Amino acid sequence: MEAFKSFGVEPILLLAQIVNFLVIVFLLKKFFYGPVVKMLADRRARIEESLKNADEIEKRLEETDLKVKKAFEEARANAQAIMQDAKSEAKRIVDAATEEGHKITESALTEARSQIELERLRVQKELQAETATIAGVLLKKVLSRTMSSKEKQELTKTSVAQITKQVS
Amino acid sequence: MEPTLAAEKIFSIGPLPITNTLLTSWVVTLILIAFATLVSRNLSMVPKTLQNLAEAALEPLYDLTESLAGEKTKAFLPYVASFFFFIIVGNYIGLLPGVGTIGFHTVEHGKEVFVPFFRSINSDLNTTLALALVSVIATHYLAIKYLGLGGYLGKFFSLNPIFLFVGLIELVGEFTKIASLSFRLFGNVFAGETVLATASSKLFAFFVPIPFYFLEIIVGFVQALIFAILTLVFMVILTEKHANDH
Repeated sequence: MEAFKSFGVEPILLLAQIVNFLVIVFLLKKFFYGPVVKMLADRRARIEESLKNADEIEKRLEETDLKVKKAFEEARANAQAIMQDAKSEAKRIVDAATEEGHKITESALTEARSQIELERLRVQKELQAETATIAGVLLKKVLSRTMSSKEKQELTKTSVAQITKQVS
Repeated sequence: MEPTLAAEKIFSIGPLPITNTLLTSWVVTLILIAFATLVSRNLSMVPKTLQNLAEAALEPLYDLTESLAGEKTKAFLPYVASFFFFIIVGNYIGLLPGVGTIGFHTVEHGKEVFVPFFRSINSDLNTTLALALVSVIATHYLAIKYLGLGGYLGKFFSLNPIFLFVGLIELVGEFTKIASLSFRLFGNVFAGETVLATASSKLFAFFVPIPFYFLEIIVGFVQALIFAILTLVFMVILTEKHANDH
């Protein structure tokens, strides 16, 4: 105890310092450590949450980007398909029209050909009849002038045979 | 001008002698509480000047305590941080010009002595002994709180003679803690005060003390940290459940 005395230790001073320090502990705990530690924890939680949110947002953005890209791709594919359809439909229509045209032309041509053929036959027949008539008259006229009846007969026969052969 | 071992009495309030270290302790207390009040009044998610300072000071201590104490951090931190802040502010105030040098002369035992108004708080064994007592008593209080009275007593007393012997040694160790904590801090700060006083009064008051001031700035921080960390470690060890209980 003598040693303590030489250091100036006195119970009442010791008590005063103890009380003093306990007051500091109590007040700082209430007004400093509590609120500041809570604030630090709150901020940490907030930052963690914000980072998580940021990640979430980024993920969503990526997803949306992907969706948009997919939608674009789909739309493009659709458009392509529609264009293809339209093209083939147009080709089909054109082809059909061409075919029809061909057919019509063909049938018109065929008809015209048969008409021409009929006309030709009719004209031929007419010509034949006329030619025969003219030949007969001509023959009658010629024979009546120069030939004997035998020659006339012979010539007529040959001519008729020849005309008949020519006509047929 | 050199400090005496015992703090000097300035005046008395009733039976309480007001020494210069007690007066300085009150100044430190006022500074700490004023700072705490100023900070906590304007706490915000986005910290400003004072709050930045407070967080920068408290967060490392909190992290340190949490790394050792885990879920007991909330109970330990007020003691650990208060020791650190009280000791470091006290040490640094002791380095301010005027502290230990402005005072009055008085006659004591027929001899004229110089009595400074303020004196570094930890250069008085009353302060460091008080801190050590609070540290050890708080440690034991927390041990009882976390272990229960049975678990706490089981740390020191056992029916197994070997464990009983070890426990008794540990009990002695608890008293040495008080001595080691208080004398380490007192010794360092008092020595620093003496060195500074000697350097400025016996050697040369200009420039010569400057290196010693830098040394004392380091010592002031280190001693505060040592006291706080030792308290924290003692608390963690004593509140830990006995290995047999697992």
